[in-house]
Amino acid sequence: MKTKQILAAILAAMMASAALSGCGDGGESSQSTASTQSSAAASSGETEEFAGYPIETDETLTVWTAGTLGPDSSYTDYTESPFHTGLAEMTGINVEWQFPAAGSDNTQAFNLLLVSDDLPDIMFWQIISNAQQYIDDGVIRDLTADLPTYAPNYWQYLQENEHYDKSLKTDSGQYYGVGSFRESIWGAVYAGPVLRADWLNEQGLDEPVTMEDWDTIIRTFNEAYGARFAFVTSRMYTGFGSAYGAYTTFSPSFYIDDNGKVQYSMAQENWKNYMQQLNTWYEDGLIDPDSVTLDDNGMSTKTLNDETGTTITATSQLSTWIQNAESAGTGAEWIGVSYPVAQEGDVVTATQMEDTVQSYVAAVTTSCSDEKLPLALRWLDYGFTDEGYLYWNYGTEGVSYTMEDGVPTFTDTVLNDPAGTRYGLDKYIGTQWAGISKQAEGMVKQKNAPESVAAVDLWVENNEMADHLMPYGVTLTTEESTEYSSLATSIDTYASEMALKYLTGEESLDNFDSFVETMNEMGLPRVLEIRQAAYDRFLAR
Amino acid sequence: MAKRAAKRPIGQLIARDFRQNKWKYLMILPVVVYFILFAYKPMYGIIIAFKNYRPTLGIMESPWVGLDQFTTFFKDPYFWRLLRNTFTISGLSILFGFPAPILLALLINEIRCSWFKRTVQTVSYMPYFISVVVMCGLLKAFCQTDGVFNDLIAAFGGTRENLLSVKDNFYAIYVGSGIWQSIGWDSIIYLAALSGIDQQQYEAARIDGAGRFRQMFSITLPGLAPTITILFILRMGGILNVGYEKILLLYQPLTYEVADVISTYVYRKGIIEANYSYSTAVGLFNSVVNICFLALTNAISRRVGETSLF
Repeated sequence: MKTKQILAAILAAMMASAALSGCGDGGESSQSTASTQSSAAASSGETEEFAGYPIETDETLTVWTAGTLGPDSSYTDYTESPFHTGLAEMTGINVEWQFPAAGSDNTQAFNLLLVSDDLPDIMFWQIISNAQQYIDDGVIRDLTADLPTYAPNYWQYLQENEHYDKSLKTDSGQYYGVGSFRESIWGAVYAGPVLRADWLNEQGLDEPVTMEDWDTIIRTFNEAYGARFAFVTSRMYTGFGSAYGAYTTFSPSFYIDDNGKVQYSMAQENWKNYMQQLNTWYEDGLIDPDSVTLDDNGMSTKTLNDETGTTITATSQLSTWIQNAESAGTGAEWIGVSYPVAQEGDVVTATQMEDTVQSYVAAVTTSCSDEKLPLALRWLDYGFTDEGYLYWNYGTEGVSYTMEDGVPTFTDTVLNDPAGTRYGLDKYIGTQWAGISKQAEGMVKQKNAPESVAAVDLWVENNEMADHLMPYGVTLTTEESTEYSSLATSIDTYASEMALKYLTGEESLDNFDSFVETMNEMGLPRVLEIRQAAYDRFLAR
Repeated sequence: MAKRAAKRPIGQLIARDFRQNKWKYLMILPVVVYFILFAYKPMYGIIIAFKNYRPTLGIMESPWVGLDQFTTFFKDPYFWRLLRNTFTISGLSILFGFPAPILLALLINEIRCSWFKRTVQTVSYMPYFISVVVMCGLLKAFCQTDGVFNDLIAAFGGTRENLLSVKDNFYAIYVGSGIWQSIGWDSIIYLAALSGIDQQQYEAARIDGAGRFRQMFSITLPGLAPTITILFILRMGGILNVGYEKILLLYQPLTYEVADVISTYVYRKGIIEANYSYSTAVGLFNSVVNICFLALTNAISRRVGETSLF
């Protein structure tokens, strides 16, 4: 039954993406054939047959990155790290890795790198929405002509995935780098509603489906245990919005509505209805007033003291609470439950979700010579070969993983690392955060605690958020982004201020119309217009 | 002609001075180099406040935009609120935070038992060494409905509420914790000044029949006055510099109305995209306002008293 549902969801998603791609088809396909032809012409001259990895070469590539792919902190540098040395062995290509000094601000480090005279061959950084500018400014190379020849596996991967393909080329159709992908939305969804299963059982209640169920549970928990609904504002994401057709709770955001129009999540009637419910709970003393100032540690303490039994949170927090409960012996059983819907059987339209294309992209800089370019692309392509996919996700066979019935399975070396699984993975694999490959669903599942896996399984089921997500690849032009940033900060400030005031009742939701009116005066229509134009250009790629 | 004649002796003077004090000049050399490299050389970077800075183009190549960055800032719907909050927070910090260490120094000075005096001093400046992140974490925990502060309020019959979510409390929490953290440390300089006051004056005053308070007003405070004035002028020169790390850690949207200051707003704006030109323009605006206040306080102080910075 379950698998059928998932299949249906996948089919629906595929149809939707096919429909989306329809708009841009004409111009785009002709462009890509043109580029393949030109590259074939260019390469036919000198390329010899590729003999596979490891490549025999004396050349060294320099790769700069920050915030991901750093060697585990137990090593002095990457030359001791099994992942980095192993990668050099598998590909045959020696890489000199460059990381910003510990403690420095990554964005700043990247901007400093750009002005330095000495660019590395490859930069792996969050350039997904700035790529056009970097090509125009002569920082990174346009790879359109060379990808099909020297990165055939990656090229094929892009051709098979419309969304990935669009995300990795600019509005003018130039391919600018090798991306970091998630195999499915399974790795992109990591937060949702959680509650105390032991209390649920004690009270003889079922897992909640609609908001009435939630209302009953929160009230029952409050009467029986004095517990209240508590949360960390930044971890509320879309919260219970799915039951109202709302797309956020407290953080201003954009989403794509059913007609393909970009919308501001807080300027919606649906969001108002959702806030109405939260306000009712707040007035009834069912929401912990500390929530507005809580951070992760404070929240963790609340769970440990049985002060709350229901919340929205991420799997990382869920794991911490479960561990805390175990070591303290409180008997608390935290589990994830499905996102609520308006009517039983409805599809979930709003959840926390990231794009399956990460914002990290590996770009080849202009200081990488034409002679070196093929080697750089071969190195980047490795993560998209079958062998490279295994290496990037699972490390070295026999050391960090073994094949069990054809399924790569992590060994105890990784899973029982004395510092924790996370650190074990950092030593051997490259896709835990952002890697130049496809992040395997199997890797993420093995990395997480069983409770988290069960929770995410529920959250991704029946999930249509992907149709409403603003793609990371959407790019504003320089002029647009100047105007956008001068308007957006004040609107976001106003909206997030009002959101909490609606929660506590300091502002009445009866005045919701004037709230929207004020945002319009602050330039919301123009902000939406800019976003819409950028989104349309993205679809037309 | 006259100019030349005057110049030579000065040149000779300098040369002689240099010969006589060459080791002192050598000692100050690193400081001079430091200021040239880290304080004067980077100053040309201020021009990006008038440009649309793009990292790939560098400072020189980025296009000029004139006063665009400034107009964006002044036209922002929140500009006046930010300015008001910045002045309020800074003003309250000076109003309550500035006299506090002076009072503490005076009190400590009156303690006769020396081990007690030293203990009090050590205890009072210990909070200074707590990182602001840790301190704000503590504050948040104390302000929660089940925190220490609420236990106190409840003990006196008040109702429990999250103190940090009420905007009327923000200034008290911010200024109060600031005083708690820095009072001991800041009093050290006054205690040092106090030890420089001639003890014979006190003796003479006692013989003339002056009590403790008389001595404090007539000898101790006038003795401290130059130190107090200089520190006050310097403090006024930083009127727009509020401890924004602390605000970032303590505020949330419910208290934006009173707590959102220029630096925190620019910080949030910076997250959306690294807009260096804009933050430089705001920084320049801050510096200009600061310098005006510094000069103003200095001028007043020069007219009224004798002490002044320049």
